[in-house]
Amino acid sequence: MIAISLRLVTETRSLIQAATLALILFMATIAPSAAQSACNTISFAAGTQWTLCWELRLREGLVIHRADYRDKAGVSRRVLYRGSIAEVHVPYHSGSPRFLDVTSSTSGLGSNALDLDPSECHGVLVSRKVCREMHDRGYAWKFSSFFQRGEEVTYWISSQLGQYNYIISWTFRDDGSIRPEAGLTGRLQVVKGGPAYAPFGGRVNPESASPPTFGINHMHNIYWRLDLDIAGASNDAVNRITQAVHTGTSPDAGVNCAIVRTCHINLHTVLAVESIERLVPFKTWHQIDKGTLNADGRSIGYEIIPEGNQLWTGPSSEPWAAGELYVTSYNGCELFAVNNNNPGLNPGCGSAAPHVQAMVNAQPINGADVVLWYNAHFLHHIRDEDQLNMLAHHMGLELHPRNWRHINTLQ
Amino acid sequence: MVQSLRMRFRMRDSLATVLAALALAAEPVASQVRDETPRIKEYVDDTLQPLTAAEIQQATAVLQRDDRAHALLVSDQRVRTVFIERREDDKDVDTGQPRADRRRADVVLYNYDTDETISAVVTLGPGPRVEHLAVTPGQPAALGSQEVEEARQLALADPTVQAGLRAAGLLGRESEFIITGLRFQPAVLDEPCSTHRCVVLFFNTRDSVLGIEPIVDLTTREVQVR
Repeated sequence: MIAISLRLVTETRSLIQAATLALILFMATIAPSAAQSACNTISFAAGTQWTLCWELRLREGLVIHRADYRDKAGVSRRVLYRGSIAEVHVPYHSGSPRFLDVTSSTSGLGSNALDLDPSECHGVLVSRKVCREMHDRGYAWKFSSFFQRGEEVTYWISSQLGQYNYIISWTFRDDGSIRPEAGLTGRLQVVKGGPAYAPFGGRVNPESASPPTFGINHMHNIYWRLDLDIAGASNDAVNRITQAVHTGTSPDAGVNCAIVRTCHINLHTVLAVESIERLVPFKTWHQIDKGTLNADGRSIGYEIIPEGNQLWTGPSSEPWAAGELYVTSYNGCELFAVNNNNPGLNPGCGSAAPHVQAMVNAQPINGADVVLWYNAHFLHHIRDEDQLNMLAHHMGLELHPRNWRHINTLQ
Repeated sequence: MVQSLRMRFRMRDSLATVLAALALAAEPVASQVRDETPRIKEYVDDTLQPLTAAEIQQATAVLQRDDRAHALLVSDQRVRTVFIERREDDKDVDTGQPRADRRRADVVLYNYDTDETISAVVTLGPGPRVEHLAVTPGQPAALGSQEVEEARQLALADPTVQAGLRAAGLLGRESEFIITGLRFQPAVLDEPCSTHRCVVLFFNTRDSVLGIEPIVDLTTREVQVR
């Protein structure tokens, strides 16, 4: 009798286990999969062309793969192997919360990409969640009465991350330039009541009201991961250009730089090893392919043009917030600026560097396959225009071709 | 009997998340959209194609056959799919292309009963296998869409949330309000949510923020309205 009962219990347990496993696997088979991808060749009126693929990935959102630019002369070269957003870090002034929107605070930019209505896409909905638009971008150049208007193509998604809505876009212009951008809109995420919050935020209820209510000020630190493969993956170099006051002699007669202090020179430093770069003093960076020269004998490349950042660095507990540009050598397991070695985010990469600062570990980059991580900052100082809904603020950076040809890419 | 009731309860809960996931799974592919811009041509890069339903099924079947995964999954435990996604191959620096023309899946599950994250890399196609399997204690996995939907359903069933919606004249009128959510990670370390998986939800209408902010503890399945 006991034996029969035990057998019954064992069989029942097996049935329950089998049913549970079936349920888990059934759930897995239909797990949320917003992933999509497509590739395009975009031919501009100017005679130039971009060839690229986009993919909607759950965490990183809109990812660009293998973008090649063909100039007016018909020379086509790889520019970008892969471009993505590697983190959106939003620390609030009152000390908490400190969101990491791509890697831990949400299910990701792609998971939360909204279905778009045709009326909000002034182009083609290439999927329910991705809009592609061709724009006239105004003058490409003008001299006297001569001019050329330019065009660009933009791919964008809208991701609802909590109360915030991020408009994530990648724009490719007919002159070869690229603009990754994030538009910040939606509704205020953290609103607190009480006079103690006054130093940390902006008042959002009438000055006469009691208690006072404050939207808490915060930073948006967005990390773009840019795997530029200019004319191929290998043999890259990054040149740091720092503008400095020159007090030596001037080649122009009558100018004494030491007295006028209006002379400037650009100091060029080819980075030897991986590096964390700060925006100040005044800097810009060129990534070049060392093996490809233009018709005038200069290395072709792209310039990373930073945008009006409010400079910010994080506390020691946030070591990834230490600079504006991180220069690393390529590693396929290094995809996220924070939580990179989290097995629940990046399976199979548990031994990789945990964050972008740790990825900078003195590996040589001169002649290597280089990856750039650009961290743009925006201080959101709460204003009445944030209610309701918040007027969009756009932030990003620009990538411009540099010496791609010996002349203008559109000529 | 108790176990049976518990099982039914869990299966019903799981069914809700399954249905929610179904809504997300039905995505059109780009090729179905007619491109009316003559200067833009479409082409296909097979290496970037998202996992098909058959590939996702293969990934889960391979995981099921793996002895280590089987031991982790076969029990009456609350396991949620965090995500399943195409795994990208490393770049071949010499060619500037993905190193191998192979299809692989990243699979991440979270076990609420054991507080473990199960992450796997599964090779698909001919000769499929579990290439990598890791079990990590704690909640390192980011939230999955299924979990956010589960939090939403728990909140909507909560009496305090319902009272708030009733006061706003919105009870039972789900199409008239918008719920957004974030992982809730409190600054105070002795709060349960510092070690549990929690979601904070925000209720809105088109014209207002309702001020209903439930914190849903997915580990205990409790809802706290602040």
